[in-house]
Amino acid sequence: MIESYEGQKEDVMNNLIPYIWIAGGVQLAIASANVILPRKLRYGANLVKVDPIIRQVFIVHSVYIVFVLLAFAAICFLFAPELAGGSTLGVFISAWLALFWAPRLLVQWIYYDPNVRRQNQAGNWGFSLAILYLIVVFTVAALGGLR
Amino acid sequence: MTPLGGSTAAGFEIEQLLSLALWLAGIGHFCVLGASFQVPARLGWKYDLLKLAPFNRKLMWTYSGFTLFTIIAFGLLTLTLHGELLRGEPAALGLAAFIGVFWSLRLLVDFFYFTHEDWPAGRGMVLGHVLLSTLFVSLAATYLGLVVWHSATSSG
Repeated sequence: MIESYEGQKEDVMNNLIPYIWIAGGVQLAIASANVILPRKLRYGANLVKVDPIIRQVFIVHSVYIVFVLLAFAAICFLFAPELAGGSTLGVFISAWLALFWAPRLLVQWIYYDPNVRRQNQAGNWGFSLAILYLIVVFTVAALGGLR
Repeated sequence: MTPLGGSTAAGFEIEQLLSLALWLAGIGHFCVLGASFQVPARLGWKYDLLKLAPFNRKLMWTYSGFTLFTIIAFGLLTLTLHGELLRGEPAALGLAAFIGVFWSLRLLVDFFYFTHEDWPAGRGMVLGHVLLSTLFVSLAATYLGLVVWHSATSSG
């Protein structure tokens, strides 16, 4: 009975691997979207109004977010079996990724300006669904390993 | 040349050193947070960010929040996955390489992109800058050192 449960659990975790690869692709797409943001949101015209140090911090944070997303994608592509495997390492990294993306969805719907959302409906829904997918996949990976 | 690794006396000493360095690195991330929380007030974000368009202002806070969250996660993951990092499990080494590059880039930004004249003046700021830079060097060295050590021991 226990062996059968363990076998089923292993199957579920193995089935999760392609979804984690897709999550890597989704994060790559989100990172790519960040490349067009500076022009779309007119960073240049806006940032000349603030102190140089604030301008620099803004740009560094923007670049760092892209770097972090690329690293997340790399983790998904290179270590999908570990993330789905239910080891302490996999559970913690999957939980970290789920916890990273969960507040991002709240930011999108509660914090960002509703007018901007209305003007960019396709982008808003695309982002939201992509983030939701990431939350679900990483939560399942983390909880699957905990069971 | 004596090969590095846990089976030699030198390897054992390096492992002990890396073990201690990892504990300190985990705690070090929370020290970085202490400095990060002061940045908005010290740099006058409340007034300066009002000059930005509302969406860009929110984006700045969001980026900052997620950067803080990433640093917290680095600290927690280092402390909870201490054994896996020290044993050199592949995914743990991937994580270590990520954190090592993260802090190395932060150092490069500090040396080549931020200009000293732009920082607020005062002895406290200079001291804080020196301490933070030292911490960044230590963090980068710990994680990249771990990756290099495991690469050397696995190939040797």
